[in-house]
Amino acid sequence: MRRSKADDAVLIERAQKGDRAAFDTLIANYEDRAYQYAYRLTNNKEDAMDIVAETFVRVHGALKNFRGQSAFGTWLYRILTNCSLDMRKKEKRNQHSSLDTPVVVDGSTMERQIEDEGPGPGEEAETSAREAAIQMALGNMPEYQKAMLVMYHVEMQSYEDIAQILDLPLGTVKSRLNRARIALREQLSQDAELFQIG
Amino acid sequence: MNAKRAKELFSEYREGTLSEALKQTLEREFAAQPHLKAEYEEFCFSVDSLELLKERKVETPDELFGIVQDRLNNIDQSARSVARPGVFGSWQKLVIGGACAAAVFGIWFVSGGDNSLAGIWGGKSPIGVSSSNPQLEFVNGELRLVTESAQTLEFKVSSGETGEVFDSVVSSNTKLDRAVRNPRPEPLHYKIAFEGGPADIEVVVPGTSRQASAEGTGALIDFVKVASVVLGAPIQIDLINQDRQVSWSIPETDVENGIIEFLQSEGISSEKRENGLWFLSEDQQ
Repeated sequence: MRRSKADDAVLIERAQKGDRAAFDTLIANYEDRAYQYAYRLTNNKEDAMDIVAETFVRVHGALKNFRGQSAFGTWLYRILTNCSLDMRKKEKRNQHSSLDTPVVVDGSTMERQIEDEGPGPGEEAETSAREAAIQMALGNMPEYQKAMLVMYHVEMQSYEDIAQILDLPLGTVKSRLNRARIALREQLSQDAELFQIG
Repeated sequence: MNAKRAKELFSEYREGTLSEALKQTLEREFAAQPHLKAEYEEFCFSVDSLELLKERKVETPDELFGIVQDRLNNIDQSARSVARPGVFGSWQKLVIGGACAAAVFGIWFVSGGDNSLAGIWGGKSPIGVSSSNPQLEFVNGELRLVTESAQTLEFKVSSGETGEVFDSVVSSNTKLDRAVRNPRPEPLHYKIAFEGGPADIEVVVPGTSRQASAEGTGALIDFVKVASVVLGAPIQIDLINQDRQVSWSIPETDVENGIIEFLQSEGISSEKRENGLWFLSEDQQ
């Protein structure tokens, strides 16, 4: 649900005064977007829910200090991104094999074949395969590059918004996004058949 | 221009924001180095492929809202309480009672239907104004309320038991179209009031949980909550004494008739309306 700044401002003001219903409405208004973003970053339902829940906990704790200098949505994306980065750092510290971690076999990477979701009719199966390949390519990229690509190309954030979210100069955002796109091409070239590359 | 520098310009070239001079330089490089041109085309194709993720929306899990609530409650139990006194408390008892009853009698109600009640009430753009005032409709897990008035209305949704206000809005254009959704697992009793307008409406809206006990004892309003879960529909009520104690036992089969018969025995008439809601009122006879 797209909310206007005025709608958010009223809800935030009420929530800052301890109005639980107002904060719940903020959650309800933003949970879809937050989950969508978190899922694209993690490619995992449980991790995405964990990030979203942790994000709203942080938002709740910090809401009193929110002065509205940026849009609530921008602030939320920043916290979501930070939560995602924190989760990855934690995972790296507790390195273990997850069901969503790609398996390396003879130097090449393949996805675990635990559960066959069941291919639909040809076109849908191919689209699903492409979606999985894109998610996998994103999964193999550095966290910041992945976050930038998802924010810009999936969540339709502008360069200016991303600069605010990541607290980076505009020029840096543009150059890093260019590098991220080049890195994506390199990742996807491994699935040349699906993407008619090469 | 070397290849590294050329690649740095890919995005700006694709977006058409490159200066004319750099654009021409890059195009000369493309002509001189076909592999660079091919690499640029692959670059564009990769970027375009991200469109697929934008088109394929990921469905938000129904349980997410509850997980967030649980997390918040654990952090700050005293300030935030999911339980509204007299609502969640009694519902929790019902569920626990139901679990016991299920263990004893092996009876649980698990209705099918859509599970799309996650979310919360929110404004919608007007879709039309009814001739009757106000008009209620239950569609796709959402209770829609459309009303019109000759004057400005203050619309307020609050808890039917605690009076806590969940939502309020002043309709300045005298036409109002609101949606009420219950995001919680347990059913909630809402009071929808119109300051200076139509009579208040009380309605019990089922939550995301589809489980309720077949047998129990409690206030009449508690039974209405059970019935809303079992029937999978909101129940509008016009009952004088909602707190009177009742004991119920809903049969495993022919659930609807079981509920209707129980209500009749309590002097309450029930009606399943075309708008997707049930309506309960004191029997006039």
